[in-house]
Amino acid sequence: MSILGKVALGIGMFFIIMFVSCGAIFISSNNDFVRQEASVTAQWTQNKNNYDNYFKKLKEACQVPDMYRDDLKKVYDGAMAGRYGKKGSQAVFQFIKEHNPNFNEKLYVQIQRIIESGRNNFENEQKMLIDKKRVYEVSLKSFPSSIIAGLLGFPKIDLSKYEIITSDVTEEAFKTKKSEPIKLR
Amino acid sequence: MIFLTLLIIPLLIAVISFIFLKGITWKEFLLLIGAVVLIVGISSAICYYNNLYYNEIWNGQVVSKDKEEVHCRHSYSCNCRIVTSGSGKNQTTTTHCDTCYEHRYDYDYVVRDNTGHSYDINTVDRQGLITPPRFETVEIEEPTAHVSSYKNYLKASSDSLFRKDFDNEKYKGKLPEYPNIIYDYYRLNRIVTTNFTLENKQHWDNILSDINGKLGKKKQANIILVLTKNQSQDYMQALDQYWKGGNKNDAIIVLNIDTNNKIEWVEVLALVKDDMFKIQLRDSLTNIETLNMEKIMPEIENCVSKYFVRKRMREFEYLTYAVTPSMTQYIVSLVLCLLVTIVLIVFFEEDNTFEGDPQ
Repeated sequence: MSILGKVALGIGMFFIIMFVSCGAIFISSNNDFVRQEASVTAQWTQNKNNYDNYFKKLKEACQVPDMYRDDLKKVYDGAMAGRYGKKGSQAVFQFIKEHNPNFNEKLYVQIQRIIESGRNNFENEQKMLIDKKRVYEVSLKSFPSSIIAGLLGFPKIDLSKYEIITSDVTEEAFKTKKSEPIKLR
Repeated sequence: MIFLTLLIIPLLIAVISFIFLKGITWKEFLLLIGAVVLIVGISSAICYYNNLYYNEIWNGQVVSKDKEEVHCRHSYSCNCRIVTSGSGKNQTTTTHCDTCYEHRYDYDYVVRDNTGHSYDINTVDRQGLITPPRFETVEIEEPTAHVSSYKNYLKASSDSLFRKDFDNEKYKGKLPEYPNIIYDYYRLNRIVTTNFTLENKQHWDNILSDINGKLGKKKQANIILVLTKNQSQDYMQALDQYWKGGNKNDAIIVLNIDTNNKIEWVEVLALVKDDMFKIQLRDSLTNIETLNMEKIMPEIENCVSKYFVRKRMREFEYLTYAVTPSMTQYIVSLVLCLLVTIVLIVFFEEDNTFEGDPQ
């Protein structure tokens, strides 16, 4: 085989293999980006579901009559958003105490457990949302997948819409860069 | 992506060698390219899966013990004879032998548990005619444990928020190792103590193994009890990091007592669907107040049975996209791929198998 033939065959093979590999990577990257976006949006919905479940569990446990359900939801949302300051949980307890004549120590402990586990579960779900966004953003920004993402038009969702829920107190502390020490009494 | 980054340099070297070396034919070049793609593919797969797979403990109970007749394993060459084939210059002679066996059959002593795993008990004689004493002591429903490999995305992904890495000067060299040493075929001790000696430790271990055996199949759990004395609560966080969050089916209970054996604090580490499991178990053990095995063990069994639902590793599958090889793994793979490419180039350059083909 002449040197020209060898050059043609060598370079030809190189480009064929690179073309096939790049093609495969383009297809799999497209599918990965689609999957990751679906995963972020699904997690967002899951977080809402978890938030709602947590309230339902609390409502069931505290045995407050149905007519006070909406009021309890307001107190609960307020506590979650830090509207009642650091004593948010106490506001929930106070409400339950006022609207359930059978409120006793056993119920108090059970409600406390539901609040603690609910918060932990919700925190884990939020953490997962942050992690999923992080993984997707790393894929979008790291080389060479950033080039593929750019060519394929990703991201196709507005990632800023999928933020976690934080309390008013936290937002304020991060805005002012000041946080008061926790007072136990 | 790692495939492509590993492929470029060996591929370029193969192409350049083909163009400039005279001893490589086009057939050899195609073989070389095929081999390079294969090696790079294998290296990429090893890099990926090496980071992803970890071992966990599966617990179960013995459901059967059988003496099984199997084909004899002790073969030897027999009836050897010289066979001549061909004629004239092409005549060759070779020695052909049959395979004979020492016995008509052997016996295996097999113990099976309810997770589908089996354990071969070693025979005491060559054929297995004598029932091994260890086999005789096997009891139906006794607890078993074996190591099983699984994908752990949390440990594989270096930057995940869920990943736990140990970086704690206070507890450096002071934390116990994760209990995963199987002994006597299927036994495992899961009581870990720090700072004190537990009386009747083996008895505690046996009870915990029984609980693990009973709940193993139903709850897919591996309960580990860490007992500490006079430790502050940050011990639990350090241990969690040191054990990298444990395995996906672990329920790690850390129970700290004071000098008078009073329970000071309890923490539970587990990857569960609902944290209520951890809180219920923590509260019920704390309420026991003293280090009392008769009270602690039933409470553990009750809480795990009622509340433990492990989180599926599938929920962390999104971390697959974040599993990347470390720089060391990448460099080692690249060097290996380059070495294999160069060895193949030298081989094809010297080899004359395809002699006569256009170069």
